[in-house]
Formats: sequence, structure tokens, C-alpha cells
Amino acid sequence: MYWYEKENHATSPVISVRVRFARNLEDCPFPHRLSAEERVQVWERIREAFREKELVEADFSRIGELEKRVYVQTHLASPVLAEKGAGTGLLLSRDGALSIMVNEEDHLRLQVIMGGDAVNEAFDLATEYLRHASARLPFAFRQGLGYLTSCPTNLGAAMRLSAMVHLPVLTRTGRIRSLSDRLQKSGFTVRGLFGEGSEAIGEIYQISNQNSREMTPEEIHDAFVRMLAQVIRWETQQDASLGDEAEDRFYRAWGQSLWARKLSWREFALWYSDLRLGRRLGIPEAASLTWLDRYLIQSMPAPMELSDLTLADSEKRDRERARRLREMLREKEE
Amino acid sequence: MKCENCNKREAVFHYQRTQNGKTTEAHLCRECAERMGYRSQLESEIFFPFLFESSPRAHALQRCPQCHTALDEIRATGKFSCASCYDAFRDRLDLTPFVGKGYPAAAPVAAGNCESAALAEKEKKKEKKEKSLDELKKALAEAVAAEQYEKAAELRDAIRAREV
Repeated sequence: MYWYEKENHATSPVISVRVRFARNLEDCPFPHRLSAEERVQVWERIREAFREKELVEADFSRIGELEKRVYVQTHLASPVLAEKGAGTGLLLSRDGALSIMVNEEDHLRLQVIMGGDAVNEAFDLATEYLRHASARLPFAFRQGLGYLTSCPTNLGAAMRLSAMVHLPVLTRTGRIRSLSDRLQKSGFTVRGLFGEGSEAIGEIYQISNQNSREMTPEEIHDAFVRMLAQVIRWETQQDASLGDEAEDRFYRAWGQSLWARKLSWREFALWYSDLRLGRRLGIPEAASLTWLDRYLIQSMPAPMELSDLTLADSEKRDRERARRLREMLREKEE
Repeated sequence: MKCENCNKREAVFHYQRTQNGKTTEAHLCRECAERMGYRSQLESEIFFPFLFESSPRAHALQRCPQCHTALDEIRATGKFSCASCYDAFRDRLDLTPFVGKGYPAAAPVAAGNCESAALAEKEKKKEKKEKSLDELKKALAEAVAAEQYEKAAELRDAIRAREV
């Protein structure tokens, strides 16, 4: 079950967390310097190293374009990986928590994503798989530099921790800029996860640690947990006093969700934000909306098309998106 | 050009080193270079690229011994091409913006060594097995000598199982 498929009963602003490590093999050039055959050899070596873990394999030179788009839109692969050819792909755990990119910018990029604010569990699972791999593959490492990566900006622990967070209050009170400045000073970056430039569709942001430099994985982990707790406090500290505005927005979004006939993903993201805030504030009708985070991902174009190939047509897709939403809302009512 | 040390012989050894933004240079004849301790660098593979003709840009031609990427390429793309590039060019590039005070952890046991480590484990296990096989044979001989035939039979079976 993928990270977005689990029901989220919590009302935390944290939608999901992701921990990612980059590693390279000692004894052959980095991916951008390998021929297609050499990349395939690396793919075989890494596959073999994880054989006992019985991972699902997605060879990107074989799978279709739609499948690749789904992996990208569900955050299991990066857009960069989707552009590459032979000898690149994904290894995925059956429970959907772990995904390993092979021959993207580095030989191996191992990531764990989990719904909610399960930073510790994600960190533990990722390090467990990493330890398994490092006993079977020669990871390039140098004293003082840490783990070697093709881009020197990733040297050190070569670890990136990020959280997908829903910050409607900070957004609406115009405090995202100052949040970003404060976090920047303590080694974190904030950006709108969906949308161009400074847009933050759905009032959803991604917070990640900056380049880890001399920090160890444990230090990065601890700093991140503390930071996330602080962000949650800032976002929720005024919840009791938000008053009518949020309530009105919830009911408008809810009403439209119950009756709309056509819905683009962008517009759904707007309603999603109001619905999710309503749930956090304890509005009774919102209590059963535990599927919001899941539907945000599943209603994206590629996942929808994967569920039904006729939904490649955007008009049809918009109607179906609205229909599924109505269905889920009415189901819960009964 | 003449050797800058003795000013007598022709300079054939040209050395340039950039560290922390400062560049030091030396232009020496072979004898002075050896006497001044550059000998090990003349012979070591990593420092060999320091030898170049008297052309100021030639140092940029040095290449990584494993993947043959030139330093210039790395400077231009901002990307390294393999693990050995870091060894080859570490002294010529200032990596402090990327590593700060330096990654503190020690090299993990498996890094660069996992195959020999796994092999060493295998050897150890094999050794252990063989040792106890000898011990079993010894024990068998002793059991026979002491006329403990039941025990001897057990040991014999155990030895047979091992030898299969």
C-alpha cells in the first residue's frame, strides 16, 4: 500500500515525510559517464544486492510512458529518472514505502515515504535498507568528504529529509515568507510543492533540509524533528480563534464537492485545502474525511488514467474526478 | 627557462599547486627537484600529472586515472565523474563550501571493501570448520585407542558428514 493510500486519521498539518539517501559504487564511473551497457551492469548489481528483499522491479527502458508518469506524480520517481534510458529504473518494496532509483544522478537513490509525521519510522526503515545494501555493495566514501556523489553539493551524509505540509493558516495570514526566512537560517528550505514559482497549490509546501555538509544522518534527523514540531506549532497555534472564515470556507467547499459535475485537479486542490482545515478545526461534517490526502494524489491525471485508460481525455477525467468525489462524500454520509 | 634553484640547468620539472585559493609554483631541473624532495611526487601516479610542459594552462589537462575525466570538465560541469576523481583532484579544488568542517564519521567497514570483507568472513568460517574436523579425527583416534567404540562410531559419522 503506497504512502498516500493509507487513511490519515490524524489532523496534523504534515501530510507525508520522505527520507532519501544518495550512494554511488566505488569502482565505476557515475551514471552520466556510463554507457548503456555499463548502466545495465550497475542495475544488475544493485538488483542482486536487494534480491533477498523481494522488491518489485520497474525497468524504465521497458515500462510504458503512463506508468513512468504515475511514478513521478506519486513521488516514487523523479522527473529526471523518467527521461533516462537503458539501465535505469526503480526497485520498490511491496508495501509501497521504499523506492530505490537506480542510475538517476547517482547510482543509487534510496527513499522511504510515509504518510503523516512518521519521521522516525521512515528514518529507521531507510537506514535498515541502507545497511543491507552497504554490506553487499562497495559504497564510495572518503574520510572528511563523506559519501561521494556526482554533485559535490550532496557530499557528506548525502541525505535529504523532507516533509509535505499543509499550511493554510500561515499562507492566509501572509506568514510564509517569514517562515521561509527563519527556516533558511536554521538550514531548511520551504517551497510550494505544486505550482510554478511562488505558487502553492492547495496551500501545500515541501520543507527539506539544505545540503547536509558535515552533519551526520542522526543530526539531520534530530534537527528535522525539532523543526517540524515548531512549524506545526506556528501553523496551529491560532486554531481556536480562527472563527467564522474557515468554517464558511469549509461548508462552501463541502457543498460544491457534493454537487459539482466537472472538476479539474487544480480546483479540487482549492477545496481540498478548505476541507482539510475544517477537519483539523473539528467541524463535525469533516470528521469522516480521512481520505483527503489519498484522493489528492489519486485524482492527479496520471493515476486516474492508470485506473482507466479512457480518462486520458481531460474532459472525461474532470467529470470522473467530480463523480468520484461525490461518491466518497455520500458514502461516508450513510 | 633555467632552474630557479640552481639557475644553471634547464628547468624540466614544473610544479603548480593551488590550495585554499593560493597558488605555489616551482620550476626546477631534475637534480634540484629530486634533492628538494619532489622525487616521490615524480614517481607517484597521483602527482605525476603535475609534470607538464612550460605552458600555464597545461595543468588543466590532468585526468582522473580511473575515468580519464579532465579537471577542466569537472570545473565546467560542476560534476565529478567517479569516486577516483575526488582522489585525483581533491587538492586542486576547494571543497569546503560543500563539506564545511568535514564529515566526521569514520569510513564504514563495508566501504570499498565489502568483497574482501565477505571473502575474509568466508575464509574464517572455512578455517573454523577445518579445525574442528581435525579435532574430530583426533578425538576419533583417541576414542578407538580407549576402546570407546560407540563414541568412535558417532565421531566417524560426524566426520563422514563433514567430508561430504
